[in-house]
Amino acid sequence: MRLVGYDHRTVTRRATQAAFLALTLVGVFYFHANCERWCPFGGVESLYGYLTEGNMLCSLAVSNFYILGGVLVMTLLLRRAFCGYMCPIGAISEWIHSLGRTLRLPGVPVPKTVSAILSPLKFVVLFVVLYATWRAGELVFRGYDPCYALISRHGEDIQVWAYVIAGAVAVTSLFLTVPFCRWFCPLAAVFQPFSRVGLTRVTRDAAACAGCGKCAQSCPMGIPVDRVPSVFHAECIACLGCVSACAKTRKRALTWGPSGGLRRRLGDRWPQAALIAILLCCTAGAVTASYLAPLPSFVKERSGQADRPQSVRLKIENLSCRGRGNLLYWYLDRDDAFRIPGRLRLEAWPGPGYATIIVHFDAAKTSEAAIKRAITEPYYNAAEDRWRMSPFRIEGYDLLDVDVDGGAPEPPLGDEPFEDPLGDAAFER
Amino acid sequence: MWRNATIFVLGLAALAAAPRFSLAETAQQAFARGEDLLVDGDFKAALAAYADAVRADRDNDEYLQKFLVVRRVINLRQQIAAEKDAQRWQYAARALRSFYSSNEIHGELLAIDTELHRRVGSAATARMLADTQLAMNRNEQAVKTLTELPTERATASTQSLLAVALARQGKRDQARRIVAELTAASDAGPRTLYSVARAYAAVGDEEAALANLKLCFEAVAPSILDGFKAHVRECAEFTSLADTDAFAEALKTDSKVHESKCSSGKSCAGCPMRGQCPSGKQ
Repeated sequence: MRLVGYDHRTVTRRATQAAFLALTLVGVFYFHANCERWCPFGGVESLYGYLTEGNMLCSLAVSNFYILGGVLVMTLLLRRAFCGYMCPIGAISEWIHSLGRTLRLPGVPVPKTVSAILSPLKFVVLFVVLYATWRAGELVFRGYDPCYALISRHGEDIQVWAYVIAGAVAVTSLFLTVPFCRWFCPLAAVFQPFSRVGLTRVTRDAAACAGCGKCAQSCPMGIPVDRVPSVFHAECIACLGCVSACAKTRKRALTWGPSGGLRRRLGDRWPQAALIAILLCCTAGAVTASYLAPLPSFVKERSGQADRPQSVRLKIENLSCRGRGNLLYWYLDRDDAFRIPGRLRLEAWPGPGYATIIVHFDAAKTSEAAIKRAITEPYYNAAEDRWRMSPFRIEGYDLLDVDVDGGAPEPPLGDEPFEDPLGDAAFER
Repeated sequence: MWRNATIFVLGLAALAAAPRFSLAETAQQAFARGEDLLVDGDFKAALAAYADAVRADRDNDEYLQKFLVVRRVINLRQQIAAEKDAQRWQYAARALRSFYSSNEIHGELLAIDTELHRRVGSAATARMLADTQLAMNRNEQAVKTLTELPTERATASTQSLLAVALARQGKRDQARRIVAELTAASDAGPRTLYSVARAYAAVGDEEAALANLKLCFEAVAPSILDGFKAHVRECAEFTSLADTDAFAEALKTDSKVHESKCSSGKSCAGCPMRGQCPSGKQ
């Protein structure tokens, strides 16, 4: 089947976009997977928190770092090919623009000066988002993110503004080519220095070039392909639309392949299949690395020497995010009869359903059974004068098994001096 | 043939649904039995009933939480009897008291409050004991408890409850004199504000009562506000106000306390404590 008006490169790219979008949608709506932990921008947002606290923000995971790394390597090699082949917003924006053309809606040409003025806005967006996020220690803009609205199936913190922004992007995409990607995407701002390097690029053979300008007309990012010897622009999304437009004129003045000294060794004309192969390798590599080296997303510890270091791996229900990770540690570090004495380190992978934790403890002072009880037993909060119920459940651990008589009775209140810092004060208020 | 097949399928569906329906009902009954036994003070029998409820309905978090906390209460009751350290005894006593109070087990509450006050003898313990005595309509005992407290240790809370107790005995003039001298601190907590509201209501000053009640509601944590409002509706001092529009309006007051949702929220997303979590304490 031949799609009228489309060449094979465009069809292949659209198919790749569709495949990634379908993968995302199936993951979100069928498997109810936590797709948020595969967002590369989540890795950017979590960077500061992870470096300073050792914990990922909110419900993000270390896989965000792996995918960010994979995408940055991809960008180093292929420029902004992530935008051109994988990003769901970019894909939907392009398709809406194609729909606009099909409906014969007038395209709005953007003068180069206007585009040049708007282009730095993505850095402003990046700065504002990162500053607010790092300062708050939370994903404060998540509720306004239309991408998150999709992958979270309208998550509980989604604001109506997320849909307003989605609507604005959709409407402007009818008349403009990928407006969000060109001027407002903060991830594009992150890509900029890597994309500038870009070890592959589109090269123009000036001798073969007829100067028709069709390549520049076909570029969704507004790059003047017809006036440069090679496309070294950071905005290039490697869509190869310019190469296809030139091929149609039979001049074939444009080729895509490695740049600089690599051309002599690796050839100067690579097929699109090579681009997609590199893209898939980077993605697969990132995903594989995240499973082979699953670093914990949440770590909290109480230092000290352990006479008999031991660890226990558990599956915990309701450990959905960093806040819950803090709460879990709070239960382990509780100041009542179930306090875990001695060395304590909690490593957690918060997420939906049952999440994995590893608790490192001193077996000379406590036990696995004590840890399970610390996690699940109600806690009397003297400061608030109320009982707090633990929201955590341990897979395979039956809370009914612990009997009052003859089973594992409550440990004594302890021999250590007990300090009640509030005394009457909180009780009186 | 199709009719028979349809009847067969419907019968299978009914059989599949029936056990679940009857188990759920049994769980409810077991839980209700546990509640009755708890109020009667038979903790071990109540624990067994709650365990039955949990086994019958494993998905019900309320049953499981009740089982867990009653099990801890039973252990604490055993331990407190042998506890020598004063501070730890107090901690256990307060933990037990909190449970008895929220479950309205007045007999046990009175016993623990009496012992707590005997050992500690502070304004707070006097207030707690008097509050329990008032809840059991032992007004004379409440007056005795509060008047025995040295004047210099009296607080707005204790004076408010004294006014309430005197008003219940018909000594409204005496109660009014006490209320007239009431001065709650600007940062008074919800307990003090509630006591003051009760005192004003007891002497007939509805406006001041409702004003303090609203301040009280604003100071109560959101997670316990609904339960507290239900308790306020049952309070004897507010009976005369129960049908008024002003009281209904006061009951609409929302909490102004920012509380983490970690014990009940699904994630940080909608939590008012977002951005303050790194401190770790909830």
